[in-house]
Amino acid sequence: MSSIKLGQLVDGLVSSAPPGELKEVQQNLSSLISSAGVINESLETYIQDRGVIFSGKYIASKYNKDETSTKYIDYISKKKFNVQITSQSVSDLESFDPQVEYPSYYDALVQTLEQYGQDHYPSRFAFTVIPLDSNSVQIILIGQRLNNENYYTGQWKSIYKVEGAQLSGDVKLDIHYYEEGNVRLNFDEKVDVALKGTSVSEIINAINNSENAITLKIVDDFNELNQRYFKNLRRLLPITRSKINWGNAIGNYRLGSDVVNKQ
Amino acid sequence: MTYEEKFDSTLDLLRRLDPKSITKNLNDICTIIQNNDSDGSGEELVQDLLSSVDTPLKVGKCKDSGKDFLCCDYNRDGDSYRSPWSNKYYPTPQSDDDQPPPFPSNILRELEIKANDSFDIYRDLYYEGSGISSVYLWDTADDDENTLQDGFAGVVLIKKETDDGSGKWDSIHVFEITPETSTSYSYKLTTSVILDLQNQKLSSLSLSGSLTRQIETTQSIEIDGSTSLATNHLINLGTLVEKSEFNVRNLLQDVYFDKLKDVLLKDLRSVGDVGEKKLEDLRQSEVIKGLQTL
Repeated sequence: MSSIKLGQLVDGLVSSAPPGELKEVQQNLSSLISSAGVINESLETYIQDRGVIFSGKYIASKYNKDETSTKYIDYISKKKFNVQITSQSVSDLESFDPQVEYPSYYDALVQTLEQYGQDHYPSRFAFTVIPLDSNSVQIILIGQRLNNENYYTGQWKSIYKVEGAQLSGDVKLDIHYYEEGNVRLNFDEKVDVALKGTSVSEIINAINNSENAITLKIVDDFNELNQRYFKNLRRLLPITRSKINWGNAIGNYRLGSDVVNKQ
Repeated sequence: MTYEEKFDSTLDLLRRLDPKSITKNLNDICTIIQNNDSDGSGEELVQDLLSSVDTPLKVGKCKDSGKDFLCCDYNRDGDSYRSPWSNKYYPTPQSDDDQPPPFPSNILRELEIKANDSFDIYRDLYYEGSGISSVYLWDTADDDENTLQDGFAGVVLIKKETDDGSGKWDSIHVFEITPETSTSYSYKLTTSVILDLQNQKLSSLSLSGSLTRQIETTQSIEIDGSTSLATNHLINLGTLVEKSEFNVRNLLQDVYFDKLKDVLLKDLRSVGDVGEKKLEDLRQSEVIKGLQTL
């Protein structure tokens, strides 16, 4: 098989990995594929596409990739770093002077987001703010829980762009539950809000309101899927409300089935 | 790396990747294995994976009976699948005298016909008259005589989709029956349900995946004038499948609707002060809905 074809197949597999289980996916793939290069290339693509947390607080994504090296840029601390998938940590941290103008509200926004994360993201919270010019920023917020002892991992990820007085972006939810099975929740919703101004409190309020509304919408959608689609997909009991009388007489149900179905 | 390690890490990989793409992922992994077969065990590994990983069931058309039937690794021969209605393979396999396609022994085929009939009624009662079911049995004893006394194995399959495609259900019950004493048999059953829920018109929320549970029991068998050994097996098997599917359905309810929602609200994003009232109201209305449906 050509390495291009192999690369495409591995890209496809990696693209559906749960955000918090890249290390395990890497290990499993390496038992099937001898070329570590192919696997790492797919993981790198995944990291840039999705945004992944390293060392608990740094985010690597296409939005903060350094174009001139393998590194990613943390605009808050003004540092560059490499990422290590096996240890899920950053390495080779070095100071960096970004050649981009920061909006005047940047520092206040960072502080307020830190507080917002503590208030609303109960587990691991990581965020970053990427200055685009004096008037706009890219915000990435990630709330993550890796509870492998209880066979689940989950991630809430919001990516927003603030351009002048416009907040736009999307919220993705991805939860994986795998005790004697493999169950996945996926949710993706666009956000588009016209702000009344460009103050930090205006931005945070818009984010908070959107995310609260999305959380409540997901709870509603759960109920809808449960009541409307799951409940009668396979009934808990037959309409007769008793378990089946197996054996030679089971054909009797068929004799009465027209009556049963028309009730 | 040993064969077992390769096998286990592939299963672990499939348990992590998105279950919604399980069929594609499994195919792609098999392609990778076949093309990176350094020690010559690739084909065996592929066959073992295909028979151990559950994927949504394919539907075949039985030309003889005009009825649909379900396809899995247990009624497969090459690219052909055996219909439980006509006992024929579709499409007709290339004739190969050295390796004819497998069929159950006559006595087991007789029971297979009855089992298909019974589980068709079961499907009708639990799946509101829709869906497809198929049962396949195979001999496990070396001896061709007295097959039922020596035990046998099989699979019960049920598939249902809602009309608008928002709900998809596949049940796969694999069982083995072995004699313990002259009057009692052990029944081992593995039940997997693949459940996929999403209404794209309303929301991007997608819940999909599968859960698997095993159940094992020993049943004594009393044969009298009206109840044969075959009927005894069918009664015990039906009761066990019904019980196991009931359990897994409850488990799906717990995991899909309670566990996942809890992870969202308790681990990932809390609505906080402002929303707690709203959330409490929602919970209340859920409780009331729950009571109304009792």
